[in-house]
Amino acid sequence: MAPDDRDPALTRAFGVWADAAVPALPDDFTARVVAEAAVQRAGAAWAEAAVPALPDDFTARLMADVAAQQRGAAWADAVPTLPEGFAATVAQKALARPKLQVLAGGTATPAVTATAPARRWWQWPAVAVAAAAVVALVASRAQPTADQPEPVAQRAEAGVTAPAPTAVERVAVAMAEVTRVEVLGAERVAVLSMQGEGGGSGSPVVWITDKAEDAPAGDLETRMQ
Amino acid sequence: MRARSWWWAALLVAMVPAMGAAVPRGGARAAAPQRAAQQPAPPAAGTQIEVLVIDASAGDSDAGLDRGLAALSQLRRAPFNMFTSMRLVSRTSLALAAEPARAALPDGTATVNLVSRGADGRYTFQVALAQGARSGNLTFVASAGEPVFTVRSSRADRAMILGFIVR
Repeated sequence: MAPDDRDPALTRAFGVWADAAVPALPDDFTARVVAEAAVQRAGAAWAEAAVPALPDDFTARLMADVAAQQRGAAWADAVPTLPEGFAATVAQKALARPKLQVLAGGTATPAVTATAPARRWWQWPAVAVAAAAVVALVASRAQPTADQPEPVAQRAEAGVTAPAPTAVERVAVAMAEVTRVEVLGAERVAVLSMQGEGGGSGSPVVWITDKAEDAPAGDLETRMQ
Repeated sequence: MRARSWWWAALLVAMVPAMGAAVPRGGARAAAPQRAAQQPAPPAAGTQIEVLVIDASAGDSDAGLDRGLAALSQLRRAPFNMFTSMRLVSRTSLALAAEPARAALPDGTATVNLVSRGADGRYTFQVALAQGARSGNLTFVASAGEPVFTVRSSRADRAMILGFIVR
């Protein structure tokens, strides 16, 4: 139900009051509101995009830097200052060295100037002889003992057993081979040679072709039993 | 170091080889390996030889190598690769010594005995095969772990392979 239907006078009174008591909005009210909202949106967008977020450890790093600066300052305070005249003392000591005196045409003794090059000159032959001796030592130890005469007789000590074959002895130094083949009752015999995987070894195969009538019948495993 | 010290050091070092030569090499333990390389080595006690009996066939069966023969790479190469199936029938370990040791074969026996052991460590051993009316005497020279083989075949698609491996 509309107010006019119930109390038209009150409705008119409200209208009069509204015209008189409620101030009119300025003409640019809407434009200003819109402009202010746009400024706020722009500010929020700038704050989100342009201002970088601080790292999580920003505070800790800042405090660490401060602490480091404080330590550096404390260390700097603790460093003793050089005594006065330090540079002059160093310069005097440098001038006092014999080598500098020689270069400056001073009065250094001949022994001081001649010792270093002379020692170097005499050291090289000694080093060369030592190196030659070491090489001779190594070479004499590495040479096979084939030239040395073997003892004519050796005394076997009681209880000493023959040395077990070492791993070196077990290395194949030549291909395995067949030195004798005697086969009776076969039709043909051939000796084949297979190269080993390492190249230094091999396996011979004696291939015996039996006569057809000697062909084994049945299962070999059964015949083994 | 002074020059005189260098000369003393050089003299000492130079004397070391002479001292080494003066030491009698007849020390039994030091000379043993050298003598072993020049003289026939005695057969090591406990040397064994394995005798493998392998049933090999070619044809429809493609069973490949028995698991027990996988370590013998020779069986995968020519001439053995003509067989498509190899079955380990028996594996016998015999003492390799001067006294003959006998292994049973499907159709006879194989007798093995050691002839000698060379200076290079290789074993010379004899294999006597007795298979019915057929017989064979073979002498092999092989290092430890190096297999040698004999093949007996009467048909193109079937053979009995004997492998001998010194251990």
